[in-house]
Amino acid sequence: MREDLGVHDDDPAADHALMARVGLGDEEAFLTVYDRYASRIYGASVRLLRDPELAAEVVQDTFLATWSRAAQFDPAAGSLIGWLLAIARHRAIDRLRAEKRRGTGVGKSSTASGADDRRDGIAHILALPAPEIDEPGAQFEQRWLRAVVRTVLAELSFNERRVLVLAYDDGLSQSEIADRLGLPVGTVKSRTRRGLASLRASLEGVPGLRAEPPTLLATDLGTPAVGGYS
Amino acid sequence: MTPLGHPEAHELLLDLALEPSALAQVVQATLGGPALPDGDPLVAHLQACAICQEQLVAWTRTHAAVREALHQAGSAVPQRLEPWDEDTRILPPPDLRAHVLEAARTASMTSTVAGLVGPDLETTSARTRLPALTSITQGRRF
Repeated sequence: MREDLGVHDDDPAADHALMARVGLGDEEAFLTVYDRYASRIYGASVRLLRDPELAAEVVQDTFLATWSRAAQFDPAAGSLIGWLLAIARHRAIDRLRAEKRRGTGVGKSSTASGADDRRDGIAHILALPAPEIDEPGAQFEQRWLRAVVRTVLAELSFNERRVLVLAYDDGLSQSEIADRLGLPVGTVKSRTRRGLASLRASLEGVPGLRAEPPTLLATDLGTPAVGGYS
Repeated sequence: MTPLGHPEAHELLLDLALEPSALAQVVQATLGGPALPDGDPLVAHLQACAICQEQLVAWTRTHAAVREALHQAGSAVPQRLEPWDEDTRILPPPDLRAHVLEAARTASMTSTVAGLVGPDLETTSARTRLPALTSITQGRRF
């Protein structure tokens, strides 16, 4: 049976080559990057802002920054998706501030025609509270983190999500998961590795989650440190 | 106790990274908490190897972040995320792609003109308010 694969980060070397071409003004490479990662940026932005139109603007802002700053991408510093999501986070903050200056909030229903059709499919997500413009930085960062993780999980296959849930929620070992699902341990490991690799690459752009200088901190056992609202 | 070489320790860490609970135990032991039985060689290696410590920290933070995010906001009791729960893959509107490309082309032209005319030209932002997008597509990945 063919393994059902979710959407995953591609080869970092390929991303590096793509970005080098984008830096030279290659539109095809630019659109390849878009096709590869726009859904994750859009999904995280919708989950954060509860506003599809605003999320679309964040995507546009992010890719515009990518187009003009492609030469600044350093693959040694982390994954391309981590870099893109870091930009998207800043752009989301910019958009929130802009909405504040306009005196509008986020998560409001659009009056554009067809808006109801667009929102129906994700109504359960839009119904959740949107960030307040002035909410504390730590609270905002937790929202962003949650939005990124939920988006990445949504892009995994059902089977990949299932093994991660058993590992995280039930604390099962790989062999215990294999027993429960009636699968070879190797299959469970492959699915878990793919899911975790996607999560880790995407979380590189979240403040406080990049590996600090090699000092084990007792606080690392608990909630990760979060950056300020900046 | 036979010391563990770095390549072996690295492989063990990669396997442990797949088991958040087991990884947390190793972290505790490395920090001097309850020791694993028989003086675990991996713990001894981690206490001495800065590279492996960095990996351990990175994975621990990733696990903590994922656990935190899996819990429902504001819930005192962690809500289990069932794999068959609706975690919809949200796709961007199809026409956003063309708008993004157009914005990038505008940015290129603006940059080119500014380069020709000089620093006195006040360049306008290539950002455009997006017109009402025609659709939002959702996809399901099962």
